[in-house]
Amino acid sequence: MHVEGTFTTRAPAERVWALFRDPVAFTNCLDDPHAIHAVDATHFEGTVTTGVAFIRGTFRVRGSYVAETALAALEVKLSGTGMGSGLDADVKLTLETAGATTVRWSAEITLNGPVATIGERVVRGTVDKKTAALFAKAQALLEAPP
Amino acid sequence: MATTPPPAKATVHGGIGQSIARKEDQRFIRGKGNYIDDVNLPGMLFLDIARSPYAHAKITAIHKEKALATPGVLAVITGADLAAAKLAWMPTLMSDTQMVLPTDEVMFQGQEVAAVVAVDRYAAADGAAAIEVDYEPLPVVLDPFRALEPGAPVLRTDKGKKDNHIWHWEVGDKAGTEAALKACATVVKEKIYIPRIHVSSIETCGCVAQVDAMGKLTVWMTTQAPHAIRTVFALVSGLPEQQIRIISPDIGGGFGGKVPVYPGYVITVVAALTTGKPVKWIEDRTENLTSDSFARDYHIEIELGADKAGKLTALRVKTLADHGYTDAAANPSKFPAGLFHIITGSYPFAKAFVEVDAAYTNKPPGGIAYRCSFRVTEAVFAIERIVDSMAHKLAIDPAELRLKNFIPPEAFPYSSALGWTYDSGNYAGALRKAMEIIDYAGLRKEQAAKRAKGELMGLGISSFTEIVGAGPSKTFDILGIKMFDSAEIRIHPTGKVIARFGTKSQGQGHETTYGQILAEELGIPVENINIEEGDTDTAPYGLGTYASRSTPTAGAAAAIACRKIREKAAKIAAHLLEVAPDDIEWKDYKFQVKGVPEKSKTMADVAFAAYTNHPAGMEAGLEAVDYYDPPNMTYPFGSYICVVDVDKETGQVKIRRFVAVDDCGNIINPMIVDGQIHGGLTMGLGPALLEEIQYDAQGNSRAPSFLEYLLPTAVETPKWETAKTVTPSPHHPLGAKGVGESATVGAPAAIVNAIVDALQPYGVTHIDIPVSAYKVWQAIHAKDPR
Repeated sequence: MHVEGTFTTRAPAERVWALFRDPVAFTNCLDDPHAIHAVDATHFEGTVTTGVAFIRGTFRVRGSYVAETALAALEVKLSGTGMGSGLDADVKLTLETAGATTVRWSAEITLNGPVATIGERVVRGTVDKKTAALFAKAQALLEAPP
Repeated sequence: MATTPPPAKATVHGGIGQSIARKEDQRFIRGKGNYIDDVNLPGMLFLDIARSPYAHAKITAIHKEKALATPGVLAVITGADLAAAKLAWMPTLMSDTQMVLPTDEVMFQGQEVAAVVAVDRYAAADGAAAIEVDYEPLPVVLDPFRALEPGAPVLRTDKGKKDNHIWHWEVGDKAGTEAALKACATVVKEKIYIPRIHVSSIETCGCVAQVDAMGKLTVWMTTQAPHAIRTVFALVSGLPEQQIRIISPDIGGGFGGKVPVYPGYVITVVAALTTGKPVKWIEDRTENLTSDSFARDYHIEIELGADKAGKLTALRVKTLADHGYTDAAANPSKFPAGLFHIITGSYPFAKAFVEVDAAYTNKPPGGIAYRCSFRVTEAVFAIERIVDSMAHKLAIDPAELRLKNFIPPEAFPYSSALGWTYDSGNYAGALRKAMEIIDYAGLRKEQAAKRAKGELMGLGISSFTEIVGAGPSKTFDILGIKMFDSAEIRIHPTGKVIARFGTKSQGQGHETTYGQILAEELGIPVENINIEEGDTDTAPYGLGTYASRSTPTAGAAAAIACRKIREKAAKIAAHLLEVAPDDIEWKDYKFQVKGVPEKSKTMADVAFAAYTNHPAGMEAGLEAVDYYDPPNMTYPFGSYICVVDVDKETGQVKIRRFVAVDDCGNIINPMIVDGQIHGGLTMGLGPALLEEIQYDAQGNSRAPSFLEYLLPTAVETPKWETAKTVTPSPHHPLGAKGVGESATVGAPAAIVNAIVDALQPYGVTHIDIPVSAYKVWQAIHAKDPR
């Protein structure tokens, strides 16, 4: 499944970069209960409790920053298991500065298991809703006074 | 002068041919059945299974800690635990191997990965959800054609294989068929895909396993073949066979889905052995739909040749079978493609050739005989579809083409080009009867008038020949066990009967129909006869019930055993009547002195004497057992005609009428036969229009529940119109043939032929099942773009 989006913020590129490069700070934009910690400079892991339709539970997630160009581009790979299901995602982010900072993001998400099967008819809508909420909260955080 | 009316024909209550109410329904309709989930034992534990979300992945770690810390959880079982006892793998019924629990890799989504034993089913479910597994996804192989291409990921490296090809099987005259097709005036060819479907019985699979203080293992199990399962358990586990008891109680539908040995059964037995307590496992519907054996999944290429006069002369079939990750079909061992080579059907082909290849893919294993007698539905669908294609190509009415080509009644017993000897048939009789009932000629006139107005209406015929009753020991075995079946009958002193069989009803009505056979043969009212099946400690050995085999095999055994009893009983009657045994005849359900009918004894009289006043030198008692080895298969047949109206704008198909004329030989209980046919027709309607298991590119099942896997309800099901012809089997003691699957076999082709017939103005020659409204709409608009 492919999702993508874009938003523009008055926050400078350095502040935007700092948010997305810090897994704890970024995952604080999630509405779902979660507990993420950094393992080292490029790896993080933890849990996220979420759900699709009536399938709700806790995913164990692991992530790694696999490519980055400071203040310009970032790629994160995520994998998670939980609820008898599997999740893999490849997230790419670019920053463009021309007065304001424009963030373009895209993700290729693969789901396996009951979330993908039983939840198929609602999973797309749920993913769209959650990613929209995630980046909306990120934007709000960036717009707030430091 | 007044004539004396002839004496009324003697009858026995519940004899053959009577439509008596089913005895077993007394408990079923009152909710008093005894199913696996009704088995509750003191101290019983529960098992649930954690399953793979991935269709193909390496397991790098299984973390049990959180599961073991879940309240109520007592144990977690993994592949490593089973491997230590050499139980991580087990044989399939086709002599392949399948995992009980994996140690390295998972091969289909939904595969069992670990099991949790807990004090109740809720704790077991919580424990299973708490199992954490680290996977490394591997490339998924879903398309059997791609699976056989060079460079495809090899799935069964555990077997040392270098590719995904399982077996090749062929029968017939390859060169002769090639030459015959070249010489034909007309050849038609179709590619037909019969997709994967699921039996979807009301009751899912499950078991309760218990080891008693003497070390005897008892397993209550949803199985259609309890004795064969007992033997397999003994061979795999090393437990002595007399220390294993399999009890198959009431079963809520089998249809072939309860023949295989599923890993859940084996894990439950291991849990009972290791905990020392009874353990129950019942799968939920999603587990049932995504991991139990599927049916069908055949990719068929079929070519049919005819001469200038429209005589069908040659048939060639090439098929690719998708078996999932292991060959867990339940076919007789010499026939890996089952009885698919019945595909010559009701027609006398001079030349025919069939070849089948099987491939491994990352899907659940199976290929079971879902109400299709070992791939017979696939065969009948293909031949009846291609015959219609030929009719349309030659511009001959499909009924006329069939009537021109049927094997005539005088040709029986008939030897087909692919090696079967059909016992009896009257194909033209069945089709003509169906045509008369439905007013075929009138409907064709109506169709012509509607077509002139641009309205879509179609008629479809399926004139099928089935092959059932597996089977003669010279050719049929499963894992080496010959496919006889058995009946053991005992008459008590008061003339009441207990009879036990090696088959196992899952709704077919054996308690009634076997009782009727015994009533007829012994002259004892059916209400005085108890029938039992399914307990391997008491029933004689048999191969179980599937593929419409019970009446042809165990029903025959019942008749023969009764005749053995009558032979002894006649001697006792002679003793009681003080005549020589040769002076006794069995007439009007009594032992009579020849020529002196008023001197007679009933079977009840004889039974009492068998224990109290039997002749000197004769053993007491009145009982017999028969293990029946059928001399041949039986060949039920029929003709079905379906009428459809198709909405051009939406593609929606409405079945207006469906007439089914069936011939299953002599009929034991006409009402039960009608019930079998009604149910079978509905189970043919489902695959024709609704049912299909699809997978996405990652191997996720797109049919994990009844929200996605669509079964026909009363809304979709038309009023079935049924009729019979009767052509007895000459080799069966009762002239009966079996009928459990005929309607499922014959119905899909009739429905699809009707739809394709309706779409003739658009040049449509075939639509793969399930024929959805969208597919019909696409077919219409491909030819009529707007």
